[in-house]
Amino acid sequence: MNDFQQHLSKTAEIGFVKEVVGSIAIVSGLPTVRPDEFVVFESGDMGQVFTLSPDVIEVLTFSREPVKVGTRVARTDNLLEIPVGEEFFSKVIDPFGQPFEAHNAFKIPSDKRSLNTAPPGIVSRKSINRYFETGVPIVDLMVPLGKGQRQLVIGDRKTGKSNFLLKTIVYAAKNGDLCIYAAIGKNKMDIKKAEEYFDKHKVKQNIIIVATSAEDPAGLIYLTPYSAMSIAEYFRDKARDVLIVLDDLSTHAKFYREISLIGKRFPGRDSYPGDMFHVHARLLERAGNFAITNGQRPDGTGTTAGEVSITCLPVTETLGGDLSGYIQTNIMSMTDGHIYFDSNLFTQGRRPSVNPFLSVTRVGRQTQSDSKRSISRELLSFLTLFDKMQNVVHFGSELTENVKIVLETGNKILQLFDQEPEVVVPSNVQCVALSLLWGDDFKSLEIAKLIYYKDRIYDMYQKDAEYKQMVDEIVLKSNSFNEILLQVRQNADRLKIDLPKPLMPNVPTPTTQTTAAATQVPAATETVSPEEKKN
Amino acid sequence: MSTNQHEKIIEIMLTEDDRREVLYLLDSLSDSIFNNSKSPQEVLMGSVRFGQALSMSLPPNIESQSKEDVENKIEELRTTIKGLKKIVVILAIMPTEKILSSLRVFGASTFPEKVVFDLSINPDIIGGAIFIIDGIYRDYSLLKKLNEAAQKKREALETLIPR
Repeated sequence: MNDFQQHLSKTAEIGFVKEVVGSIAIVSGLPTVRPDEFVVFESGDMGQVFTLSPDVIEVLTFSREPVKVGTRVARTDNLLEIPVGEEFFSKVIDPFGQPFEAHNAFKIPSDKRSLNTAPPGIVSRKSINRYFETGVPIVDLMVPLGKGQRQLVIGDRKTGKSNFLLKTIVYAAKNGDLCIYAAIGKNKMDIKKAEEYFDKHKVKQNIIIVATSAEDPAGLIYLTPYSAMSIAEYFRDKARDVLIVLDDLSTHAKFYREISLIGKRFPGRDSYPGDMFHVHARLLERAGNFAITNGQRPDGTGTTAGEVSITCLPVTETLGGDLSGYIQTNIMSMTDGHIYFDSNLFTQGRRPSVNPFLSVTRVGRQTQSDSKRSISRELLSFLTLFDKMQNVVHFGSELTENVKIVLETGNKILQLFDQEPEVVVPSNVQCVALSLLWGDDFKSLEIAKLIYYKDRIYDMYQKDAEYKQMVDEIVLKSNSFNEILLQVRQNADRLKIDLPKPLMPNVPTPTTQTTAAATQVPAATETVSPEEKKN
Repeated sequence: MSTNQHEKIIEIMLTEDDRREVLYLLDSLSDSIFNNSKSPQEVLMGSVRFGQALSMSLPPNIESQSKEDVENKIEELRTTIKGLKKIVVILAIMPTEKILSSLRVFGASTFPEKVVFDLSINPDIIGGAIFIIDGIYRDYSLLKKLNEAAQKKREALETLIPR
């Protein structure tokens, strides 16, 4: 009430609610109100100006209970602002920065930031050149991401998208990035599960959850991603790299459609309003890789001074694997790639069910090292071949030895990529494991043994700092897949890998020529005879 | 009929209640033209304040005019009255005749067109009045003045408190 009176005295303009339709209140008066301006009702509720007409204005309300007709409304002469600050870490908040659950009260920060800011221009942006690791090897190697990239995560419901996102957040938080998870119109149980997941992995102190539940008002759900992005921008301006996950924008679009239809805006395709693209584009354009003007980081972390990023992972849901939906194609066009979670792969038992052939990364490959790029190229071409071979097998024809090798190796690679729900695997560990498989060292080994070696490498990688450094150096200093294999063979003892005889390393130190000529492992395509290629 | 011919009835109206009463009277008049239970003259005589003024705004012999013509003229008058600008005035006490005549003078001198006042009572403002005109809010109440004075005193006292 005090707020209302204060604003009324300050602006000296008043409005009256004439009609209420769902989340929209039709208000008369307020002659000089501006679009998107924040208004306050006499009852203490808040709203945002949605539409201006000659006689009335439409106000989008954010309260659960509908406002009453006749309620007085005052302007605030401000756009919508939310509190932002370090106090939000490890908390679950609503889009206004208030505790999501009333009993979890905490001190609200004093700094404020507008919900709708213009995206930075071209001059303040920098090319994406820093690698962003997700801890999911199939993504890190085959659909690599960069810091500042906007990568869409898309797939049918229950295909493992949320699990992938939570793993990525945990891995990024452990690596020192700040993470913001925007749960848009989710079930309260899902929000709670996410919170418990972060708590269990002891990364909650680096994570902010901005949440609205499905029973919250449509107006509040609509604000959720903008609020999360404003918080991300606050920390970006403090020279901290931020990862923001928007889960999910298809729900956001549905609620915005509901608001627009109630507001009698003309429906377009699929009854979405005409500005549907703009609603998401102005949000996603606020992410990216930006220049820091003073070149300093307050905490001294990061490998490259002079730039800071907001990496954005928006999520959309598809129906029946249809990638050509309206919202899906909209967001695909405004992001730097997409990771497709295939329901067919999910039913086949692949976890994560990422389809590397239908996934795209437009700016991620430039951030990869030469060795990883080499691995990615080899894997992609091999898996393409493997995919074609599998189609041949369906015909039931007799298989040659080479085809059997390809099929077996392909299956082993896919099983190496499989991950438990809560396990994250650094990409360097996966590179070492793949190099062993690729070099035929463990051709005869069963997959269970391969996975055992991979887990052992991962275990030592986590616990032993020297071991970790060694593995990282092997991958970073190599220029190609073959060089990694050579280094792994040479350091097999130190890596505690039992190579089968007679392939124990007794190889001279490689030079560029020996790497190319003497130690070249035939590429996967070369193991297949021309006849098999024809088939 | 032009607004000038409706001048008498419009001049008499001051408040929103008056407007409501006149509109009700017009509705009753309109009913009486097509319904023979009461004659238009009886309806007009039923309103002490507005009957005579309204009869001056209408043609002299209503019964001899065609029903459609009279109805059109009533509709014209109704539209004019509905279109009058409304000013919300919140007072602390029930308005006396003096206050009402002050309002009438205020309305006539300030606005080029005729206005009607939507009066309401709110004792919390203690005295003075609050005006709301086309969404513009002007608080001339005693409560506001007292609050401002108290705020100034508070600020002056705060400067005296050592930090």
